[in-house]
Amino acid sequence: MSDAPLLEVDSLVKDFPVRGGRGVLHAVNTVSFRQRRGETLGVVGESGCGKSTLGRTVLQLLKPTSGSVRLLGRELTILPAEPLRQMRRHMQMIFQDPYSSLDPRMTVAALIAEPLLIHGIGTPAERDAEVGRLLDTVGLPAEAARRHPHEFSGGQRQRICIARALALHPEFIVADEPVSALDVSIQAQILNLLNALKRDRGLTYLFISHNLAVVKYVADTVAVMYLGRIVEMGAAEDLYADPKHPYTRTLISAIPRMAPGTGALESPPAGDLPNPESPPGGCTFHPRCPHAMEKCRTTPPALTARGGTGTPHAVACHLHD
Amino acid sequence: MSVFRVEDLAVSFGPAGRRARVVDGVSFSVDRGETLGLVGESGCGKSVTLLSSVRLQPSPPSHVERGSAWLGDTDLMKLDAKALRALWGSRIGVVFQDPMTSLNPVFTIGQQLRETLAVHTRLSAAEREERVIAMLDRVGINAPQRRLRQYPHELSGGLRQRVLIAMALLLHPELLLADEPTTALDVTLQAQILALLRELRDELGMGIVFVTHDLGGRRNIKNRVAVMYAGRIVESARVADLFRAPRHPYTGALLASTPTLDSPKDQPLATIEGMVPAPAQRGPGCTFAPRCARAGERCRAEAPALIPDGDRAVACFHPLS
Repeated sequence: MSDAPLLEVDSLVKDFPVRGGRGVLHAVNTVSFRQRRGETLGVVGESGCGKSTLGRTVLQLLKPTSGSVRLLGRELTILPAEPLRQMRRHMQMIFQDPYSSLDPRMTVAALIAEPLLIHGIGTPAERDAEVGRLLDTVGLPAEAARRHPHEFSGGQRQRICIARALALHPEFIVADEPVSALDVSIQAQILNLLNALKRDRGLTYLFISHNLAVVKYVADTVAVMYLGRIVEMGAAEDLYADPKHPYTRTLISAIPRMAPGTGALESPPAGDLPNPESPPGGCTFHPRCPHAMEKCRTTPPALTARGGTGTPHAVACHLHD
Repeated sequence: MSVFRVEDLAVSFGPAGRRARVVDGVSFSVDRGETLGLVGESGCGKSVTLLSSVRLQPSPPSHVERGSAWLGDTDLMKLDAKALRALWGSRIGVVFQDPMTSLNPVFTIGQQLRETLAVHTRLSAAEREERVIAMLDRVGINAPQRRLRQYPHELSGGLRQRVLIAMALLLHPELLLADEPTTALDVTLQAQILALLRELRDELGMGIVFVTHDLGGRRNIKNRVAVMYAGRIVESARVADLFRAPRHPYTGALLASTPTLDSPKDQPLATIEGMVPAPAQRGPGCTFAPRCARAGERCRAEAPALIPDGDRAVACFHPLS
């Protein structure tokens, strides 16, 4: 890991108009973080917390409402279409559902070569050779090239998606729930593959998942999102050993333990996620928080560093004021 | 005393002459106040086992080849459609995976709940209303009167799932069947729903049979687990025993391949090579033998029976110690 950040995200906001035209939904609300080369940032949170929108907005697949995204030192949010297209070589995405993210009419070879074709890289023979190398990299046999996606299982399809994402030799990959749709025994194979690729190619992942055990296994740093905001962020070992935000403590205690008798940190929070179109005032977690104080109802807490080894361990919670 | 006992259930799919057997000789029982989890990866036959055991699996295309399913001293396999309809919803409650598709979108929550009581009881309208409100309150739904006037799409996923649980429990069934009732929900909601099921089970003395693909999860609610692989139960045990010392090589491999908070980050996760054999490709031997490091000559020739040993059982010629 070098110290120069590969990715710098500052005060990123993504709003969506609310149906009926009244007001906006802050899907991503003033999010800032940095990623060094080779560092995996895990983003966790429940559905609707904005973690997928964050990934897509960082990649400029969704246009940010405001804020800054710098990849390799270049500001992406102000780039016109053509230079942005050129930058896409450096940043790719792996999706959750390997069934709907591959065109069923294309062969595997055509699917993997498509990014090269779009960017005008190589001759047909060179692209064929590259497809062969990529298939080998992701653990698929060479003859897979001639077949169609429906002939493959879910885990094999995800390998095809990974090969496609690797075709342009990107430095940065957003992986949005890449193993959630797969069976347990297949999840392990894909996680091992992603880890090996990180090691061999120096990849930097933004790894989005609702599964905290999976994130602990793959991530160097972890950000916990709730209603569009990062409520806690730090080195994975710090955050799991000493979760500071009541919401993080809840999420961790909801993880099934293999070792029997491990006590729960917190009971599950009461109630559902509030309607994100009209989030509660103050700290947005206060209606579900067992420790909520008067201040939490009125003043939104800022994300503030509270210790941490190396990477600062930051939390947005008045309990730590 | 067992509430529900399934003996030697075999279920196949497809037209006569080309039938593929997807459940092959499954036996289990569940006592009053006990929870049994049927656990396995997709395609192992767990949902078909659950639904076929109470005749809710549509037939055709499914076909129960043999077996019996005893609710008290009634064999469900011998009942006609009218007798079954009288049991479903009264002595047998069912909660399906997807709360969105299990509720009728054109009726209010109140209409659907009252209908259940109108069909199965002779309660007056006022008594039905009282019972419905009491049950919604029981499953933790605030302001039940208001919810009764709402349509399913107006409720969140967690609330819809609670409504389904309320509906399944309205007539205080002896047996509750649940097919991945929390898979569609977020972790904190899962924890809430599971805590609720456990409470109601103890209070009403129900037996619960639960289907899940997640071996790690649900350890809070299951008393016993039966692990299914390729149409058969390969191991059953108390939850804590299974996690402490799995005996079937498949269970062991599945546990080893699941990332936990304790998985060392510098080591690859264990994987299970190969794939689950399709129903038509299952040979005479142990269905796991082609993927099993311990398999010998006998494993490929002969299917091991599920042999009880104290309060656990394993179907393996070479079990883990």
